[in-house]
Amino acid sequence: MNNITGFFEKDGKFYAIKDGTEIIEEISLSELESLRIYNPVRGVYNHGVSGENVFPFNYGPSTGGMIETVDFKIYTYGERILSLDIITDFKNRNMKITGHPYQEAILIMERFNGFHSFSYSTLLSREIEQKLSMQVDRETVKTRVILLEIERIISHIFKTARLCEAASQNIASYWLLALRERLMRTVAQETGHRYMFGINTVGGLRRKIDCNKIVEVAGKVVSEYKAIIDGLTVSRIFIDRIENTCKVDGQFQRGPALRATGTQYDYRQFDPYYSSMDFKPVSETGGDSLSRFLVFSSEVFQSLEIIQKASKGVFGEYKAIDSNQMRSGGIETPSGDARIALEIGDGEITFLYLRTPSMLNMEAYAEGIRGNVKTDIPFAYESFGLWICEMGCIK
Amino acid sequence: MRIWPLDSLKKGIITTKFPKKENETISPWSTLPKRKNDEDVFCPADAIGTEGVDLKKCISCGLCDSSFEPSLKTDNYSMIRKEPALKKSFKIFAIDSGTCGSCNTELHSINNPYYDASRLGIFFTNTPKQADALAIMGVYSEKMVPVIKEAISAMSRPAVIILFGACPLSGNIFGKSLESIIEPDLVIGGCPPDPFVIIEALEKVRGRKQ
Repeated sequence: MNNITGFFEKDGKFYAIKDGTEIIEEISLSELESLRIYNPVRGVYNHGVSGENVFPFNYGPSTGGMIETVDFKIYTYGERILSLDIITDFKNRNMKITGHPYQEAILIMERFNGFHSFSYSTLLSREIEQKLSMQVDRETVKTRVILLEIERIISHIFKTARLCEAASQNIASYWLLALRERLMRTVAQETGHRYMFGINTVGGLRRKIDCNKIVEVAGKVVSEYKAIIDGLTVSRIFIDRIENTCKVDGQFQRGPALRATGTQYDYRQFDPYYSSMDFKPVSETGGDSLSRFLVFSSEVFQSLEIIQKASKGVFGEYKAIDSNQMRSGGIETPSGDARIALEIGDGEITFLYLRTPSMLNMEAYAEGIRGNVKTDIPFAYESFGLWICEMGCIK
Repeated sequence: MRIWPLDSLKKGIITTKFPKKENETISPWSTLPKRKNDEDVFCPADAIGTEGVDLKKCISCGLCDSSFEPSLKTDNYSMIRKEPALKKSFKIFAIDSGTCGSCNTELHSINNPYYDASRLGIFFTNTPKQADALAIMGVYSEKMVPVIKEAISAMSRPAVIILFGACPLSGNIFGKSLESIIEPDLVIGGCPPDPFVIIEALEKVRGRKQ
């Protein structure tokens, strides 16, 4: 049976989204209750434990150490983490997309996770195009692929920088932040916005984008990134910190966190935009922070190859074919695949379900961190590429 | 074996001279748009009025590009009160009330080697107790209200409160603003604000730039 990766309720019935297929299947409540994946109804990742001298140590909700607001309740009797509750709803934004016209819905979607805005806006635009059986020209497909991969490179460089910062590799961290800034400045010049806001629209792109300069700068940035990675992978100080930290197995996590456990699953394998690319996912077998680091750093080089192929290659026109059957599209965001179920009517969104990678990866993080020590928290957290904004409610 | 400090020296200086010299670049649509013709245009954030674009409401989407173009200026902020006592050293504590993540990373971008805000005496701190400024980002979130209020009361004085980005100023296009519960000393517009805009605004609220 395919791995169930998301589920939602509509008109009193429950539906499941599975890996490797766009078809949505009806499922019974009893089957859902036995699932190992995150239950969005629960809201809190509750893993509380008790025992002699065990106490909850609170970290958060607002601290300088985390980028976003999140509250960790660490169950411990000293240094070792017995269990971890993650309270993510301090910054719950309750975003509502249903009832909005398409373009406004895309603007809201971009702001669901601003760091991966282009992935999410492409996901929604493409899904609406599917529903409208709209033809998208080859230039749009090519630019979207290039910008999706640029977003992945920027995100993975940032993740590497955060990992280096946690491991006190400050020079490497600042180098990486400088590389990210260089690429973001080029993106801003060519697309009009550092985070690619306002670019996607239904049926195409709102601005004319010349990708040549972006591709050229990406090439230089990635070659400097390689030099830094070569330095980090021979640094015992760095490797010792992340090796065997937050080991996870299982199938329910997403993106680099899943591929680091030896599972070769990447939504780009099924994505029609990548059909001419002969795409093969990068994977590792350790399941720890080191494996996740190795996966996402290799993906930076792979993304550059895709960008270079895409900039030279000829894409076919992308004709969306919609069946009346309820289906679930997806996209591989830098943190993992996001899946969507959408319905439209009268020029606006009438139903939306979104399953983001952080929803599942947060559960994997909470499981993997057990038995580690408190100082492992930042290495483990950054290696997953978790975004709290993705955990909020979106309808 | 790599000797990181030596390799760094070989790279040379990449840090901007801003604000003493002009900014080298800017994210075009994060600046306040200026009118280029009289054509009526739809704004999803209702930011366009008779006197131009409201910096508190503009969400930097560029949907108005048929009648407006980016001003490319670093003045996308408004100061209510300045605090010259913070001229020498300025420590910021950032609070995320409900962001998409981009304001958080843009604020911390001023620390990267291209901007290096520490050369201006601007630093980040991990606790509001040591902070001279509180930068509040994101839309209103009920659970964050007591957290923000506690952080404000924990700060030593003199201090300034900054509302950062379109979300706390107007609620963006999906939420509620924070202006009803917080009186800011400085508001910075943009979705998200550009690092050059952030640096100029911070310098002004400290009374270092006229």
